[in-house]
Amino acid sequence: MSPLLFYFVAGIIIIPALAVVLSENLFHAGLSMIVSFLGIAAIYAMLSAPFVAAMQVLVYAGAIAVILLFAFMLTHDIMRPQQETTRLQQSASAAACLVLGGFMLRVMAGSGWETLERQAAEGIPVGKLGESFLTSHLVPFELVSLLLLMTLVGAIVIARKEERIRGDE
Amino acid sequence: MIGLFHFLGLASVLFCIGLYGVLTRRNAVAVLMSLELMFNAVNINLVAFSHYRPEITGLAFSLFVIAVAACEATVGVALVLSVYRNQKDIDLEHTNTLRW
Repeated sequence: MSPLLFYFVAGIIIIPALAVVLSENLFHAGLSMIVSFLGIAAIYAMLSAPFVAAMQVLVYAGAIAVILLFAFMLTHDIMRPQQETTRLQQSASAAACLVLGGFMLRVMAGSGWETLERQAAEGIPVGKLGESFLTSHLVPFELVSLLLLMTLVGAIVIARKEERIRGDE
Repeated sequence: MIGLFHFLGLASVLFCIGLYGVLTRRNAVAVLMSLELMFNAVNINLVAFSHYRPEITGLAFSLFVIAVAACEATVGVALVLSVYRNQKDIDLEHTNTLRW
């Protein structure tokens, strides 16, 4: 993997991510989020995880991005610039994020993880991943399916219009 | 030579960008988008570690994280729509009915 390719993809992730948090126009922010997600899928492909990359494109760049863009269009006059936070809040948040980022990078630099060797380029085959879902990771797998069902029901219950039945008064 | 540190550094930068968005955005959907960036940063970490160690757990849990993030986005959007229906506004400064 050439460093040039990595930095190119990192730019494709970081620059749209900055647009997501800084852009005045929220619809543009949503669209740049999709670009960022696609860049992250490229990172997964570099890390020899093609199945995760495919899921990233399908679920994140497909489903989640569409859901969030729908939410924009249903709730907000998107062309109206949003109410801004104050300069003080922004600088305090930026300082907190910079401190946290610097701390994380410092811990990583001193951790010795850099010496870990890269695995074989073909990575873990999807078949083994599926096997692990039905053997060693069975409980979280079933919990996720339960969570998806609960989300399905919960989202309908929360988002539907409440119509009170006034028969029994 | 690109190593594990590069991927972890990229993930922490992305995490901090997402955190900044969560702290400064006032639109609820924009906060959800920044949250998704933070989810993705964690996911990059999981996949990177599973690539540099002979472990399948990181890869498996990255898929679980994707599923949980989809659930979170769905319920979050449902809540936003519900709040919007009641208040005609999803500015987080104004949704303070439950604030003590």
